[in-house]
Amino acid sequence: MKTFLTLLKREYWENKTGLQWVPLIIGGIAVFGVFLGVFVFSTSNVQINGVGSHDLTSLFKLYDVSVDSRTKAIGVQMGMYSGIFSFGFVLAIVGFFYCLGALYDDRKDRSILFWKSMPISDTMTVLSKVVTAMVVAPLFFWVILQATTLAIMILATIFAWISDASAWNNIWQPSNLFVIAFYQLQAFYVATLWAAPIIGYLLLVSSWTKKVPFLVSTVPVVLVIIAESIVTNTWHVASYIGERIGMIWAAYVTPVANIAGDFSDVLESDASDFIGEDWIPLSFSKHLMDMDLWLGIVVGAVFVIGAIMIRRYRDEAL
Amino acid sequence: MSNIIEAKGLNKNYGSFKALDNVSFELESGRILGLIGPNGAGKTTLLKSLLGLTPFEGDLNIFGLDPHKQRDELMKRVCFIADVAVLPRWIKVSQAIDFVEGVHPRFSRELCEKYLEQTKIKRNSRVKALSKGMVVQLHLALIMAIDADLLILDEPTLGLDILFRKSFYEQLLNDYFDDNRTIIITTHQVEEIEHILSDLIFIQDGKIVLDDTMDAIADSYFEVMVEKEFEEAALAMKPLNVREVFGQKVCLFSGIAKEQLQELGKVRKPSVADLFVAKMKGEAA
Repeated sequence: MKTFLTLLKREYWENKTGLQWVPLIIGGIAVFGVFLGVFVFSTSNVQINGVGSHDLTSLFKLYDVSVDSRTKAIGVQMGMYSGIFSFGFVLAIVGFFYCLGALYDDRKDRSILFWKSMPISDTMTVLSKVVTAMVVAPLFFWVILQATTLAIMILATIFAWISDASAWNNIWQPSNLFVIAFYQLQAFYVATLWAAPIIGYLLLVSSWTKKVPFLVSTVPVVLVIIAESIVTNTWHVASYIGERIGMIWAAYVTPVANIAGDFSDVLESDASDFIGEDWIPLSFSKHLMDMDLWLGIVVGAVFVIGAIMIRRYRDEAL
Repeated sequence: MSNIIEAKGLNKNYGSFKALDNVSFELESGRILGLIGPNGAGKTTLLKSLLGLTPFEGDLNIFGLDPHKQRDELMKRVCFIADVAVLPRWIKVSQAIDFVEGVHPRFSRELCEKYLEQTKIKRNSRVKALSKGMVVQLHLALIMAIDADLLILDEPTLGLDILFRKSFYEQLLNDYFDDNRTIIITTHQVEEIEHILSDLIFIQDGKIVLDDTMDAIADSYFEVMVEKEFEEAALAMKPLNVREVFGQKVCLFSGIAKEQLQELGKVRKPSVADLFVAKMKGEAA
């Protein structure tokens, strides 16, 4: 256990940029954007079609008194939840390059000879990379997303005070903070489970390739898709990959359906109408009951076993 | 003393190239073995086999373990420095220490800190900011702080300056080596390690061409500065190698009594480098 935790720490040390600094920068940009929008522009006047002259604080006050609390709540909750889309997108990019480098970089710089001089099994090493990609990275992104959300809510609170409106009624009370945070946590991990075969494939390529893992992982897939379309005029490979990416996206969208479901009285429609796409499961339990999800996990596991075998038994350690 | 390494009939082919050709040897604990051979002779392949980094044919066991199949178990007792500068460039010195402490049951942080105190290495520097010599110092400090039974060093001082190389081997001998430990070293700079070796193996074209203790070598190999009048007599005794120094022939003999050779001229112990040259020439002929 101590060994495995040390291996996870090792992954964190090496990948601090992707795991920590990148989401912090994304969060920082979001907070800074809100700050600019609210505080810098609220000092100037807003004119709509040249008519009227209101500053933002009086607009907020107007919103406060004219909009009913249920409508406020759905706006706040959807806004809070939607922070996940930029984080999820960046996590996908960080995760992609992390997996490609995970079992390749140390062979390239020969430091594998140092790692291999320690009493650590290759199974442990590879599993530490799987856990980093599938457990640690989503957790880092989730925590930093929560910090970002809180920072923005604090800015909004200050703005409410300036506007002489109630921060509690407009922001904190309708936010449903913990439920939204939990939706986001589930969305990250269900999306990660859908990504399992892709993660496994990338680790396999990373363990196997002698050079440029990016090209080795992508070019053959593109060639197979082209060959399939020419030879049989079908698109099975492309549509499998497309469906996978679609389901990762669906995992992030599912809580929107949950939130919409909670507000069906205000929306005057049920959740499925609101999402408007019938392929998006309306709850996480529906995701977990999908056979394709579990098949993908099995495929991912087979790829990971392959990656371990290659690392363990390849003729030359490099 | 029991053998810690027993190798019988090791073979390893890369296509038609024989990297190891029926290699057999044994090594007791408490020895320092020098593994010497020209480039491409199979040294690295042999070390990789010992470390379980490559599959091979034949019987090999170290501490009774099969290095390829029981590699994780073996690595608790064996340490190696495979090459200079294989420490990851991104790691900080303090992280490297934390890492080894976290994964190696026999690592002593106090010992490692003690070794590092003798250097100018700062704990918060990254490896990429260290000089080549400092990286080796760090690597050695990490490895020497592990209470290993067998230490394998593959060209540990390659590319380092002479002052550093000297202190490297001094530290190894004085601070680390004792009767319970065994060290295997490969290097090109034979002359720098010959005084610390207890055993010697020459390897060429995948075959072992010499395998003996240094004491036995001192008893059976002699170099003679042959006086001019005995040149023909000396050549008639079939020396392994003849070279000329200031016009005087220097002949290397094996298996001839020292007393007999003393009649030809001044007898001395051959250097490992001269023995190596003689052996390599002999095998090539």
